[in-house]
Amino acid sequence: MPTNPTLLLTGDEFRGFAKSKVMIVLWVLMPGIALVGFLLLRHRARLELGPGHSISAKQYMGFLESGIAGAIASVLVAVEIVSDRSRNVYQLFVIRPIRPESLLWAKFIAISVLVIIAATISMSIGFIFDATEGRPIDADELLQSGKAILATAQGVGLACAGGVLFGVLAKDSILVAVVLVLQIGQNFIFIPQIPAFFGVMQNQFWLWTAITFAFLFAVMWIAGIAFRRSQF
Amino acid sequence: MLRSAPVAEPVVQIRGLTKAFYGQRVLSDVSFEIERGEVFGYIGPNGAGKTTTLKILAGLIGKYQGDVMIGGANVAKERAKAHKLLGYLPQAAGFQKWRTVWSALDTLGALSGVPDDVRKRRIGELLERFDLAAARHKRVKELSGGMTQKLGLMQALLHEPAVLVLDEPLEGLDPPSRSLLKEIIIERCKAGTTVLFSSHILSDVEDVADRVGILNGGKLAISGSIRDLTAAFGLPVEIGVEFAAAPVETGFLANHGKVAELKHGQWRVELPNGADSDAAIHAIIEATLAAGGRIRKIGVVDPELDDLFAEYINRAKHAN
Repeated sequence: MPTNPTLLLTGDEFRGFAKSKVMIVLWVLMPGIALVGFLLLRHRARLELGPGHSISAKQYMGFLESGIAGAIASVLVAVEIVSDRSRNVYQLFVIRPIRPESLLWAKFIAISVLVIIAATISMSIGFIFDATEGRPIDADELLQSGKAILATAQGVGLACAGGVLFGVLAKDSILVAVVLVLQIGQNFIFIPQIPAFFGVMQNQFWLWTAITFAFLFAVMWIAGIAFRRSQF
Repeated sequence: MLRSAPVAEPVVQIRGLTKAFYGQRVLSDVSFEIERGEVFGYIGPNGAGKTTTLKILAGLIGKYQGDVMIGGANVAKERAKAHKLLGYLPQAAGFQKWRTVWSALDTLGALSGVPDDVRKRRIGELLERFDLAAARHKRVKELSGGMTQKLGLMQALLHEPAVLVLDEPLEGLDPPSRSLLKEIIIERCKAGTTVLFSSHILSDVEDVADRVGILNGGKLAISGSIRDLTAAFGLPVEIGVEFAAAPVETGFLANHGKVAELKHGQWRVELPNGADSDAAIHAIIEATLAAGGRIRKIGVVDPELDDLFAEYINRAKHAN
């Protein structure tokens, strides 16, 4: 049976990234930040954000890790795409009878999954702290943490899709790619939350999730069109 | 995918190819065809547009005027169909640095549709042939320039394409590897593969090319076999004579044209325009035997591609 190009390339990218120095830093940096954060917040079960509104330390660290993970994923994927392109790596792939978008999806899946795993591990450190503090873990907190991890995954996915798009548009300039990603791509993460700002569809987590994925696919689709029209 | 099915001839057709980058025209109305099993050498000075032509043929550059066909498939409109027939070596082949030699070939071969068992066998054979078997698990970043070039060649050959497009394939290769590649090109052509390659090393082009095209300033100035180009340029016909035993005197050679002794016992005679080369050869043989000499070798000497190219550039300069 013919090999699916996207699956084949994704497997290769996983192997390439998992052993890279960048990923090693990620696997150390993100849990390290989580560890420091939970050490600082260890005596606080909840953080007061305003009158009658508080979030748990885990939720707070979740937001923080999510933002860091999104930034890392988007910059990483954009720089990777620009770097591969400038070294003529893509030429040998796009002359094969495959859809050029397979290259982008492979990069996207590999980087976003590895970053999400690193973020999930980091966010889970909070449960270890709760256990050491003797604080019971209740079902509601587990659910909230699960949602936080899913929200992080969405954020990373969106940021990564933005990184793919701007990596393709930046062609062979790493500087342009990084600027575009940090100035524009990072804001993609807020787009699915726009309805909530207008008081519409509040507490509709699964609807936001659906909108997020739809937006993610739209961004990747545009990136694919731009990539296909590129000249190598 | 194993060896591509036989395709209609000519295999490569380029008609009216014109391309501009940012308003600067780099190719103007380039047209040529390459028949099945033929080797076409594409030469020209730096900046002539050779790499641009090859990239368009490989489908790496999409916006241009004209028609570019591989095996009857339009490269712009039937991309996947054209790419199934194509093996391409770019001027500077790039690989992800974390890949090993084996992984690069395995993935690229799989993407070209080569089945698993066939792929593994062919990769092993190519690695042996290119003397890279010991480096199969080395990462690309650890390879020398010549080894990377060999890797680029192997990925182009792996799926045994119907058409090979090679941009400066001999660059960075040591002499044994250059001989090997020329041997492989000739083998593949005998099996029906069509080859288009560009090179600055004209002697290497001459060794393998059936026909040559000279590109200059984005225009295909002339194309044909070396004999055709010689006739087109009106370069003088030369007869090469090598004596096994030198005659008493060699003055008779001057009766047929301008004479030059290359080294002891080897002479070149430049015939005047319109002279009958066969008659001149016959006369030289008779005069040599009459003067007590013996001939080891005699015949018409084709000009070298370097000479033709130099002549072309000289004329182009004067025309401008």
